Amino acid sequence: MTCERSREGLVEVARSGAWPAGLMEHVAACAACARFAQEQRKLSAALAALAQEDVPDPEEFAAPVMAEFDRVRPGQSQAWRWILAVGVAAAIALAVVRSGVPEPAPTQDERPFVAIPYTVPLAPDEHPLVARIEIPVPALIAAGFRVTADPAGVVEADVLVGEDGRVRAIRIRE
Amino acid sequence: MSQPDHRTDGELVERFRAGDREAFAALYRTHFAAVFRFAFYMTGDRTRAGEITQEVFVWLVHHPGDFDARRGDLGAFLGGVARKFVHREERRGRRWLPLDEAETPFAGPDFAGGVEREEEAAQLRKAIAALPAQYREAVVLCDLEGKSYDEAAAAMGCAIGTVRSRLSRARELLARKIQWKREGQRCV
Repeated sequence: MTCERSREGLVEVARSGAWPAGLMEHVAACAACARFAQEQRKLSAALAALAQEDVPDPEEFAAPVMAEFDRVRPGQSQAWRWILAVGVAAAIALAVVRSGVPEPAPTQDERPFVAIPYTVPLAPDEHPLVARIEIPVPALIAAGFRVTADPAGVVEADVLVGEDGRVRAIRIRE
Repeated sequence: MSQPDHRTDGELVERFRAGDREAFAALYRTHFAAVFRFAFYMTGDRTRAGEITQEVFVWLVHHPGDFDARRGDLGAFLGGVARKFVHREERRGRRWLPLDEAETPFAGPDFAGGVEREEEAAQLRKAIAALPAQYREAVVLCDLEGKSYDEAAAAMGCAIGTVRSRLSRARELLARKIQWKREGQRCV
């Protein structure tokens, strides 16, 4: 048996205690593998101790989670929310069409995006597109944003577009 | 929100989908520990683990229909969601510490009596958190969460043999880290 094959077997021995045939003989004759076996046993003990560590009380982290549940309320009638969200998305889509191909947004702007109310958050593995467009002020006001610009005008903003083509968040430029 | 709940996950999920706040709270209480542990072992940071755990349950609020009981239990499903959040954070580069460049080498505690001091446990957590992601996952799932190779393979989306080899490699790296400190030099 080679030392390389022995090492994989010794990891299993340290985890389960069961010795495959021939391995014990190799370890008895190989000082390096004997030392490796001892280290693996110690590592198993350390990992077992680590696995017993306490977990914090769920209540410590519950408030924002339950607040989000209260805000979203799965299963409840949310027709008006969908109407609003669709309206905002449609207005933004219209603005995108009017302004032609969206310009890639510069990356140096570190201000955070603001989620459009009642839209589904991006999935963890989703790769959104950032586009710069002009949005009619009434659409932003209807979505609940506080805008001081001319109500009949437009504002420049970066929008975060999910892989499904839906706008999820806005970062108003000025 | 602290009452024990004896309903099954399936019943609770159905009620949660219908807008039952207490059912969702019960699911949160039931699965919080497993999600937190996974996030904690993967990041080595309790604060980040708490944030990731919250993100997982907020995600569940927004995706009540994504869980399919025919494909596995809710615990495994939430574990998969947590895994994606952990990986997303790593892709963003918020934390990445290659094993060979970890600032604090493993201190080589006396394991004969177990890891008794918090300092030693913290060093072991740091060494695990510094492993490359695929090796770290194998250690977390198999050695810290006690999952079988079958379960770990399902969670990691790879073959059982791959889990075994990753775990073996991960433990070799951890052992090397210990030896490096004890002998005052890097082993090759």
